[in-house]
Amino acid sequence: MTVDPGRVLRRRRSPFQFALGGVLVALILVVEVLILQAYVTVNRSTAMFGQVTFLTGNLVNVQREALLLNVEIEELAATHDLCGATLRRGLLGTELLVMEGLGEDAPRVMATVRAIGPDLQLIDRALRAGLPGRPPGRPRLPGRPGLPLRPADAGRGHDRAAGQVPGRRRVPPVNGPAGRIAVGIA
Amino acid sequence: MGRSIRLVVVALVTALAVAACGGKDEATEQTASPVASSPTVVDAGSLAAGEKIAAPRGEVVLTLSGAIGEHNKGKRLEFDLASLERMRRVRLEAAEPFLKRRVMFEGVLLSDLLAVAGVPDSASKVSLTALDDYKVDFKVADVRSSQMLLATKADGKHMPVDRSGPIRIVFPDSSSLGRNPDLWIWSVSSMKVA
Repeated sequence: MTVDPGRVLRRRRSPFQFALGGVLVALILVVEVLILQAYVTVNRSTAMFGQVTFLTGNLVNVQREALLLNVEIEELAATHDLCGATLRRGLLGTELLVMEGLGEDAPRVMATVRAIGPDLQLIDRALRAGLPGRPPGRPRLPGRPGLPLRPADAGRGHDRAAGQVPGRRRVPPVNGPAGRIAVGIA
Repeated sequence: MGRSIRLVVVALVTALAVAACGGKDEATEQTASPVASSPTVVDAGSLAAGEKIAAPRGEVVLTLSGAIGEHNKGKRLEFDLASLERMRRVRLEAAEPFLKRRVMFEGVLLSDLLAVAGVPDSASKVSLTALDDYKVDFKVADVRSSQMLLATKADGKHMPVDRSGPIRIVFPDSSSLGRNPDLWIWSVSSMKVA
């Protein structure tokens, strides 16, 4: 007796086998969807982590500039160096500007930046008014009152004030992921 | 059996389609960047390579040192804003990575500045230092090829120190270097060529 192998195979397929095939396909689809969901979640988490890291780094930079401005202002009575203090105020302004740019999606950041506005205006007014009886300051850039450039010796005292080893510079790694952060925490 | 294979193939195609839809957000984000702009010359300038650069009369905004052929103060080359703006000036609209908006910058190409300063072909590295001591190194070859700008103006106005000024580095949208925000150094005060 000769049997057609194809016919034998066809005869062996039962509804149960079809159901198993369907379950297999459904499982494949479910696994694919789960993998995709996990990918999307990880992607979102990575983006959030990057954003928060950048924000934190900028907060550190703002803190650093605020501290250095504070040191400059405290030393003003002795040094009469309005240029140094005004420069630090300018650098703090840039860091706050960056914070504002980052904080569009973070209302609390924006609220905090706005809240310190009056304090900064007080400092600006005091710096513009200058110190009574102070010696003549360095020349300033035309059209930019109150924002002189860096004095040649600025930075040395700041480094010491910030607890740094004198002479050691804050050099972030080139192409590093968080160069600006390195400025703050070096 | 043939029907099962067809089912599996259909399932895989469906899965691939779903995967493609899943990545749509990211793809949209990538293509949402504005059309790349390139620097356009606004003033040919009067200071070109090979010319003597006088010592600045105003406040010094940039000091070049190291492997440079031109000097105006000892072994250094100093610029005030006026002398910088005597060079060929270009305008460039770029996506500012920190403010997250497009800004029209104006300034001089860093490659032009290297030419004016007489930087030799053998030079390999340019180190830029900012007023806050932040430091970034560039390869000279990258500077000469990437059209990076030393901006003196943003949206038509000079930039004070509290607005990232008085000079800062800006990259065209097409620049691969510009994708790294760490390289957008602001308040540049000195450059050392090696």
